[in-house]
Amino acid sequence: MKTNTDHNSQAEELIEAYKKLAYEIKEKGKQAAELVIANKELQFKENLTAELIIANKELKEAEDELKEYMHFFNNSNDLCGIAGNTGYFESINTNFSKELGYAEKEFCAIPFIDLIHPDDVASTFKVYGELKSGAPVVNFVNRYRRKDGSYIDLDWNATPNPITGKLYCIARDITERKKAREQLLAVNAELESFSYSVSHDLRAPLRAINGYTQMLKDDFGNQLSAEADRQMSNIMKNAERMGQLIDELLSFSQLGRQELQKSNVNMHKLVLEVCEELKESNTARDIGFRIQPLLPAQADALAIRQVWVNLISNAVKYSALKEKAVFEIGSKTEGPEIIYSIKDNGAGFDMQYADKLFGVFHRLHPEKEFEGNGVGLAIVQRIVTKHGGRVWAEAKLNEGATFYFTLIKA
Amino acid sequence: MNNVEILLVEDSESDAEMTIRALKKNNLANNLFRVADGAAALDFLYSQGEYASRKDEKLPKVILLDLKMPRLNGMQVLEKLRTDERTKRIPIVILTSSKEDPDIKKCYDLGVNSYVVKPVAFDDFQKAISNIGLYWLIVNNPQQ
Repeated sequence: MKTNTDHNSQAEELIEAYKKLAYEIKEKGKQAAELVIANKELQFKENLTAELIIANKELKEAEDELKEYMHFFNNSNDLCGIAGNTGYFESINTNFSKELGYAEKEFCAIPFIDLIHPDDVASTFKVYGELKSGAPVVNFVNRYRRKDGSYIDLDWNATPNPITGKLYCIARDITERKKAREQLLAVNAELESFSYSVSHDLRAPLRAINGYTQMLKDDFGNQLSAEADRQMSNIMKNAERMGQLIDELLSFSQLGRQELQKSNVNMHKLVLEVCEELKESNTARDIGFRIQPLLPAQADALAIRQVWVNLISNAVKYSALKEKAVFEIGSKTEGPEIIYSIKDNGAGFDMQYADKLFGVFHRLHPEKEFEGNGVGLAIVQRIVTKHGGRVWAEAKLNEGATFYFTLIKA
Repeated sequence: MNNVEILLVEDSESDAEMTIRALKKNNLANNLFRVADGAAALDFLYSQGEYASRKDEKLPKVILLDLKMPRLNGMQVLEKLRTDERTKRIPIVILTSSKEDPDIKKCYDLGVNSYVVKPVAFDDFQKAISNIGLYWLIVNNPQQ
């Protein structure tokens, strides 16, 4: 029995052990499952962290980029600002606050219309309306009041954002430019009134010299000798010549003040017309024109016409001693320029005096030989220079001359 | 001062003498009266100041008016005459030395009838003046 009892207790022990083992296995299994979950959770957290890192990195890059653009914003010489649709600026750049004397916060707290010159408020409202309706604005000029009370002239470009209603505005300070322009206008006006005085006051005594000499001739002519008559005629001739000089000097000074009205000029047609006119007024002369097809140019048609009239008249004048005058007119391109030329077979001139050719009242021939005041070529030079071109001449005494001038290609 | 047909408003003695001489040649200067500046011209036309005794006279047929004068200049005279009911229809010819004049346009805006630049050459000057005289005294049919 004893053996049986032993067997029994052994079996019980075994069962006990088995139970224990089963329990442990179960526990371990539980633990393992938990571990798997924990692992999974860990994995998830890791992923999240990685994503966060990426997001952070992107954020930082965006921030850097923004900072980079802010450098442009704040280093600009222009006045840059973003305005909301409420009539206030939301942010302005460094130069904006520097130019107006307000700190950014201070400035953004003032409705911007309060800082605009009273005379510019209406036009600013109009432009503001255009911007609000979505149209960008280019080169709008108004005046802003600085903190010290003075005004600054601003030239604005602005673009609206149709979704947010915000306005992106850039302004340039044109105060100096405007001042310079006003000064120029004042100087021009002064010059104009000076010209008027010159023409008026210098002419009046000339008219008297002329008039009284003529009266002397009319009233006492029969008591005077032929020599006295000749001398009086000379007085009058000179007074009239001085009148012409005054006129020409005035038209020369006017040239400098007139603005060019540029258009596409059909040079060939223009030159043909000028030649035809000059031929008609010189019917006694035998003049032959050889005109090549001439290139068109971007120029002030009236002014360039004057250039041709003066150059061709010059050629007509200085070839007066030739039995047959022949003029060759041509053009060619060289780089960005067109070179026009007119060659005559007239008196020519000595190249050592070439620099005197284009000066006002400079002449290379005595008046006895060829009439003139020495203004024609000065006018040519002034017109061509105003067009950004050059003018020069090549010649030999008694072998004709060639005059050249250049214009920028059309 | 009676029946003045031409009122010459000219400060320059020489120009006045030459103008009168040119008109005389065509027998047009018999009823000419000359004053030497704009203020005197207004006094004459409105019978005031030194011309206060000149009453109920007919207005001249034409006024020859210089532009550059002391006291009131030609433009000021023109403006005054054109805004006054009594004188707004008198023919006015501006005589000036210069075609450079910045006031040409303004003179026409103010209602000048003619604008003439006095030529330097005496022959031309005489012709210009006698043409003006002939036209305004003989050809033109004045407003009564």
